[in-house]
Amino acid sequence: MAVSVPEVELRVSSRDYDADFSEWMTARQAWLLRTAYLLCGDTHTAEDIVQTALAKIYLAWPRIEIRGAVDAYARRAVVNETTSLWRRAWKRHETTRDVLPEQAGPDHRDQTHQAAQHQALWGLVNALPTRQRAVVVLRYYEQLTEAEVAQILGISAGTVKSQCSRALATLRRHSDADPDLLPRGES
Amino acid sequence: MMQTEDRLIQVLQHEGGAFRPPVVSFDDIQSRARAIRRRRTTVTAGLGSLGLAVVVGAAVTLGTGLPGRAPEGSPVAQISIVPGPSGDPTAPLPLDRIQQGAPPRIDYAFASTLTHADGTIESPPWLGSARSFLAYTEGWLVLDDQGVLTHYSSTGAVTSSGRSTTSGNRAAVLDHSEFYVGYAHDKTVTVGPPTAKGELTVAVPDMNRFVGFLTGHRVVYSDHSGSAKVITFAGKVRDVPAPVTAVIDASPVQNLISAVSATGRVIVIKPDGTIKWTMPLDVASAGRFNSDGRLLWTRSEGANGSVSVAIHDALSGDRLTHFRLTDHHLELLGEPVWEDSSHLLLALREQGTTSVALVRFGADRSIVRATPVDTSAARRPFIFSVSD
Repeated sequence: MAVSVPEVELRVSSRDYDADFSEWMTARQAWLLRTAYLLCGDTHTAEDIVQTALAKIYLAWPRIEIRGAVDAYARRAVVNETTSLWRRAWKRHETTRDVLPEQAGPDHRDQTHQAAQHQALWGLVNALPTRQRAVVVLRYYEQLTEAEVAQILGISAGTVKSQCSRALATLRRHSDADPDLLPRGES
Repeated sequence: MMQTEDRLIQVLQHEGGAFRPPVVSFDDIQSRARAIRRRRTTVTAGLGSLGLAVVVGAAVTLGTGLPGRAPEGSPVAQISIVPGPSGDPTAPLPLDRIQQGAPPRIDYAFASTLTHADGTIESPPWLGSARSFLAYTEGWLVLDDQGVLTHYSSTGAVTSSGRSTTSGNRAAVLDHSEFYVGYAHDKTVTVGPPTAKGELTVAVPDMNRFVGFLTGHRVVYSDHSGSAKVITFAGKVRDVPAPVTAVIDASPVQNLISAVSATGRVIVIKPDGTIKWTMPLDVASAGRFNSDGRLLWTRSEGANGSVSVAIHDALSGDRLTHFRLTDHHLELLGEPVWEDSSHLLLALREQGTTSVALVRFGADRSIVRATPVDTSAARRPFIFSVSD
């Protein structure tokens, strides 16, 4: 016999915050970790950044009225944590990588060249100054507008534009200088 | 040589995609939150002892990223949790335990029966092979399994027939005002009022898929490369300058287009190509705008294979509510369809069974069953009148 459920929904009350946050966190952590990884280039640092950002969001959760705005806030928290971490002097001198450079093999010359191009460009992204890198990741990975990036980083849209332009100029300059960054036959 | 920007997008997309994110547990977050709280308490106490009137706390951390009230005209958004009968948000939710509500307010077909919004039932001969259909005052536009679009009069006679040039399930769309569009003939769009009179045929070069209408008598379509294009009823074509690989829907009221970007993200753009907002990464596919263009449904897939249907504010991207189907051991059959301006109809099946039903899922976070549960083997999934 069918049993009627009076109302199959739940208004979020204070005692549901943990479940509510946990559900949101589960859905969003992979995205935040990827963004953090692109911002810092290291898995463990990315995990550290995201854990801190999530903990701060968790503390603020009961006061958040517009849950749809949490994603934007989380993105900003991750960017801020990355910048904050980078300001610590010891972090400036060391960059760890999760992936070893690929070794060349005689049967995979084109793929190896392509992989070398890829790794070289990723290496250049890793070497960009923190703010330029944040602008690049937010603009070209997150596909945010200049205005949205400006809001997240707390800078003007003009600064976003100039930082982005400088980052691209750096990448282009190295592309011109390094034959590994050019497609085969164009060097 | 490829543009630096293109290569940069490729590299970032590749690195982001290759990255295997570790799992962060809720316990870890609670533990770190406790540590942060302790540190803040210590700092606050220290500052207090110095006699400084400084407030350090979560409110400062929160900043302005989270407005304290909803934007004007926007509903207050809260994440929805839909528990099973036991109150457990991940418990199975048998369809017959969902409260029975009003019947569907749109035409729908299941197996060999067509049920009208007014409750009348019929079995038209075309139903057995229909993939989608559109009802209007003078008859039906029916797209069959072979991709043929046939125009039936209200008496059942064939008015016209031709191979659809559209891909997907929709060959005809109502724009909620005065026009419909059909694909009855190669590379043409037939535009007309919901009666068969006054039709206008517009030649559309390189059309792969009809998408929808915009204001100003404009039609959105995608070409064979997946790019978005706009054509006026006068035949003037213009590119939508956005890097998209698939165009999904258009809202004629809000002048918005949903699409998939070159980097695989679901985005909502304006006709000038400006990206209005970008979906979170786990959004697998965008759905369609509702009749007033203010809501958009999406389908998400979690890393563990969980499937959710969500309703977003189409103007801001805010997720208003979502329903995690797999948590409740439910499967989605076909595409959800807007029943009215704020409710979706979902064709659901209990996992591993033949029990199916239409369930009404609302932006108000309600879940109500719209049909009795059918436990017979479903030969064909539900199909809906294309009225969304």
